[in-house]
Amino acid sequence: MNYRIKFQSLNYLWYVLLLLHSVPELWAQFNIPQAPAKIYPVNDYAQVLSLEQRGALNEKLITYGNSTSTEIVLISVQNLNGEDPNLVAANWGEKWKIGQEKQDNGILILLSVEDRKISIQNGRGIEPYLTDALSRRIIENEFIPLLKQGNYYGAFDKGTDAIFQVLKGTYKNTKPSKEGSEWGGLLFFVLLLLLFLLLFRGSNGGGGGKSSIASDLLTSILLSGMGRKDGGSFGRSDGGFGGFGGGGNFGGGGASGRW
Amino acid sequence: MKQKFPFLDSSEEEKIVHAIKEAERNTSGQIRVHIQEYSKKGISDLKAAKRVFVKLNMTNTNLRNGVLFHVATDRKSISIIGDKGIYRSVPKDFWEDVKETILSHFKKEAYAEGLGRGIYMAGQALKEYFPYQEDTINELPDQISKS
Repeated sequence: MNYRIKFQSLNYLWYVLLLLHSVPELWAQFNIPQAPAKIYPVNDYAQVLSLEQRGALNEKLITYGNSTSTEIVLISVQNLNGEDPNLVAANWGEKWKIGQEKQDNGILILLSVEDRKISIQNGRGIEPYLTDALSRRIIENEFIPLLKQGNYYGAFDKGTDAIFQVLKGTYKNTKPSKEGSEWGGLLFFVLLLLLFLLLFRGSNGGGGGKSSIASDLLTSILLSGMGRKDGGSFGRSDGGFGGFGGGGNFGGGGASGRW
Repeated sequence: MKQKFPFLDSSEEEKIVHAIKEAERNTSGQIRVHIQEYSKKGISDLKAAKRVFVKLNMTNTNLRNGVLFHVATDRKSISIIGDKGIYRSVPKDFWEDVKETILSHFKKEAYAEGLGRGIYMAGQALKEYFPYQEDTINELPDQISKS
């Protein structure tokens, strides 16, 4: 079986600024570096971040990766030798095998400093949540304004925040951590119960009003946990919440009838 | 009983698409209609509809407010599915109301009319809970999808 991540490529393309129009060198080609033995989230080849900034981003993304299993990798390079950022980013993701194998849930953000180009590429597991349109919106709203000011750290920080928000509640980590996994399972179950209670109360008192953000959040956490193997004391119910169509866990519902 | 074929003729389809555009006018919510001729056996109508919902990538809305009208002509079933944003906003009996309204027309073979009414109801609900915002874009196609 070939579980290699397949990156969507070329769907979106954003040129940050064409002020510095780099002339493609005819025979030049961008060589993607070999993957390091241990891939850290931040790969600042262009050295646009300070040591502290690199550390802060690394910490943030590792923490996020541990709790959600979604791997976000930031890469900055000086230039791409005139190559297309989306293509390079997609190939890069393939080469480094970003994301967990089966879930294909890697996200790669490539910034080319001299070209003033940025690309967000993601594995197929992410595609349903982080759509091309959303990626473009994140680039335009979060990255570009700060990049224009030369605030690379701010751009990466705000950009990844936006991605977190988009992905909130779509995946939970299925890569068991080495220590404390038993406690984790128990904690998860207790949390689930608690959330369920809260939710139940919330839906009784609501009376059709707007559900609060809190309960929304709770439900999405709750629902996203349904597919977990290790927490699975809740069965699947036909047509109810939780696990239909293999990964189609969107938390909605409705009514059916026949005529 | 032999099903009327096609389920909707082209002028009726146009009416439906128009109804969708109309219903989406003042809301960020998204409506789609899917007509399925052959359904998979062994799953409930609602579940079949939810699968289609996911297949059509209808969860790709920013506020998770897509609504799908799923018609399975072989089973003679209609399902109305809301994504989690809208599903949680409206009263529980909303979906039943829409279903009953549509069924009352479908029983008279007034399919376009039934769907049109349902779409209008969904539009009203979406307008209430997801009013139009400045950055509202039409996130999903308005065309009827089929399988």
